[in-house]
Amino acid sequence: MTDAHCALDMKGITKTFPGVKALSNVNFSVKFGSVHAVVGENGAGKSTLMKVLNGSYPPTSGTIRVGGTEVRMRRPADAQALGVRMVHQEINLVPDLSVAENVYLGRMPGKWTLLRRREMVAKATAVLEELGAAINPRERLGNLSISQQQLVEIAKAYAADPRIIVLDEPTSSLSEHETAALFSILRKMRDDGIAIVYISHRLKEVLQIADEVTVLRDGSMIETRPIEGITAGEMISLMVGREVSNVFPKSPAAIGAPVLSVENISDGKHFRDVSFDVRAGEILGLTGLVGAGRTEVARAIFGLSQLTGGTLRLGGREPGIRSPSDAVKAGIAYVPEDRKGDGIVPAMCVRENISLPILRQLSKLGCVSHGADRALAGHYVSQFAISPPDGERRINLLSGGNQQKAVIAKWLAAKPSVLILDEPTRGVDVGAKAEIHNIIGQLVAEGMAVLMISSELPEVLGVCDRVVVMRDGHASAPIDRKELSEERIMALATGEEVA
Amino acid sequence: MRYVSLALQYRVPIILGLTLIISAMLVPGYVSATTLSLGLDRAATIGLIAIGLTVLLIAGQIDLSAGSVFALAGIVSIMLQPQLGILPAAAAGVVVGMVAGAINGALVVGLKVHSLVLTLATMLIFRSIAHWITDSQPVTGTDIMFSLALAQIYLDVFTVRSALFVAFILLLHFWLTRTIPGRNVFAVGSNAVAAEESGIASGRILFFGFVFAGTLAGLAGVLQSLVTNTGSPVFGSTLIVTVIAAVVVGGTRIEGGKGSALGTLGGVLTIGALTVAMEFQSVPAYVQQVVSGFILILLVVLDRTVSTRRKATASRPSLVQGNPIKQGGSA
Repeated sequence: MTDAHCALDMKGITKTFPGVKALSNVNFSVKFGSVHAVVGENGAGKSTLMKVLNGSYPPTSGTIRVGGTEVRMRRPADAQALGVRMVHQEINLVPDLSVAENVYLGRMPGKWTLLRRREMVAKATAVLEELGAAINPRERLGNLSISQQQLVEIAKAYAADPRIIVLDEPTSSLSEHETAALFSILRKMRDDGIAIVYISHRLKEVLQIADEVTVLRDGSMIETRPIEGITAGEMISLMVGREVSNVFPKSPAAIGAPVLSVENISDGKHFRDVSFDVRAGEILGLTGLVGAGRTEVARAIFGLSQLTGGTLRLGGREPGIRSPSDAVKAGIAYVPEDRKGDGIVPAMCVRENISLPILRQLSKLGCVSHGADRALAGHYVSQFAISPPDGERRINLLSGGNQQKAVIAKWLAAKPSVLILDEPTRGVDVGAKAEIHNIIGQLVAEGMAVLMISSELPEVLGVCDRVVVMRDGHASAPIDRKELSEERIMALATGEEVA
Repeated sequence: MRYVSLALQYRVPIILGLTLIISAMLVPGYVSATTLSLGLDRAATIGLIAIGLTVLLIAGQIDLSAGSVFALAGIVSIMLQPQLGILPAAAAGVVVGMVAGAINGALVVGLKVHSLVLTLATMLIFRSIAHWITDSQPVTGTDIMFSLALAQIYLDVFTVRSALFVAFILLLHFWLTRTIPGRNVFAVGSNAVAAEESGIASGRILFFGFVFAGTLAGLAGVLQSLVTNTGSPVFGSTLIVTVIAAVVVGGTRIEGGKGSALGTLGGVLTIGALTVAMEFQSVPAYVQQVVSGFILILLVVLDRTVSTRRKATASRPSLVQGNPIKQGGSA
């Protein structure tokens, strides 16, 4: 391709950190007016490559050309000056400022230092309208929902009139409707000549939006191909370097008596008259629209919110759960959706995270027995193949999938009879996803009862023995695995027949 | 319910009003121009330092050394009087505050140390220097008449320093709400990473925040020393606690990102009114501190009630209609 069409041309990019080669000799180029997807497992080097591109990490060697000119980028401001804008996966905005102030953060219009607020609000309104986002630019950003904040993040990048825009997992907090809206925005930007780099785990979306796709694996560029003629299956095998025959293994387990039964439970706000039971050796799926009340049911069972009606039985008895510590004593474990906020203590190492809920059992005379502590962590690190296999590593240095494995291990250490998992594979890559499904399979094979909340239909269909579908706070009767189909679940979730 | 949240939102003026009403009922002769000017003058020392601290707290930082800077600047402005004359010596005192702030700022930004720890250290250092250069003895100025002129009440209400305080508060209000650097201070305090990645030089903002706070602490110290015609190494040793209390009472969040000049004005006036009322009643100083402490706890609890209430409304999931299950995934 000629330089004139080449928005970005990275050649021979290598980035080493002490002891680690994060990128090795990567070539990556993007044309103006196209959407270029980057896929790869967690740890494949996508984030490092993007940090090189936005100036956060100067490369160890290699050249970067933007619009045909060789450039050096040492900090994000350099990249921004060249027209490179980044939309982060995690919202990176200022909650205490208004939407308009966030859109123009760092570039507020004004004379001398006086802020021209009216001009700023008018421009922000125009940008948000252009993107089809119904958001009041005067609203405090922190009052918006996560998906609205994501749109503000995109508006902020778009308002800067970029030449290259990098989106990192932009749809992870968007509903399908909002994703469709985002795609029409991206197509519009593409038609305006902007080069779009699109990073995603969701291969289906990549197939929908991208013109080209680049696969990274272990810090190397494996292949760049036009999107025509590549399938999701091919992308996966390029990503993992092997054919993945079954990403959702379900090992058959003997199903026993009900362990957890709820009957007509309500919380007065989010759900009413929900009934189901989870049996030993069973994975019960709980699915439905975002906001249908699934997480609220799980939180209420775990004592994080109070039930206003109905009965909850555990092994035939009513434990009377009023707080999470009651729930833990009764044998319930809950792995929440928000791993960073609720699941891990980032500053602690893997071992300390795993032993956290059962320190009392590991202690003698009030002192933690380090031998027992280490043995326990070592056991789970090897059983779950937590990588790197080092219990003393700070947990926030692990990839998302491995953090999730450690969080599950943490709760298993308490030897629960019921395990509740809320979106256990959200934001983790294909390989780790299969490993997590494997772990869940092992657990039910040992007789544990698992309640799994998931929005991903293929996962629900692949893993669960029975599925309960929620809609507007009501739950369907459990559907058996044999009778499951995407259409059936969608029909129950939306209340309409799906053609 | 609506009235409760409305009351919580306007808690600063309400608390100030309640303080004034209760004081007026309990203290005979409380409502008069003299008490007002006395209260304002008493509040001005706290207030000048509080202005600097408001900016720092919004930026997510703190300056514990302000009390030490206050004493040191005052001492310098008195000790240099024989050599320089009163006004140049006073200017030198303010410069001492500015330099102290620059030291704090350079160390916090350059060494990337938490300002709580760093200014705790410089608090000790500046205080020790104050003791060192005075041999731990108070120093006296050359001209007592100048002090009297400073303590003069103009327009029935204002002394020089209370007028300065009110003027600075209004300027600060304008600066925080209407200027780009002012808004950037909020951005840095609310999410430093996002601010930095948006091209805001957060290091520079923090540095000048410390310089500003140091300068105002110096100014307050110089005025105090000029009014009393004395510089003392023990001046302002517990001052910073009161100042933080006043700023927090005024609704500035100690973790950064939120706060206002008018809130600080309210907080400072509340503390000032309270102090004067208790002095009128001859309440012992330590009891005054107990009362201030309890009021602070009350306010912080109220503040948390407001913010959690807001958060609860904001994070309630919106049941978006026609919002189908996310299909697909990686396979």
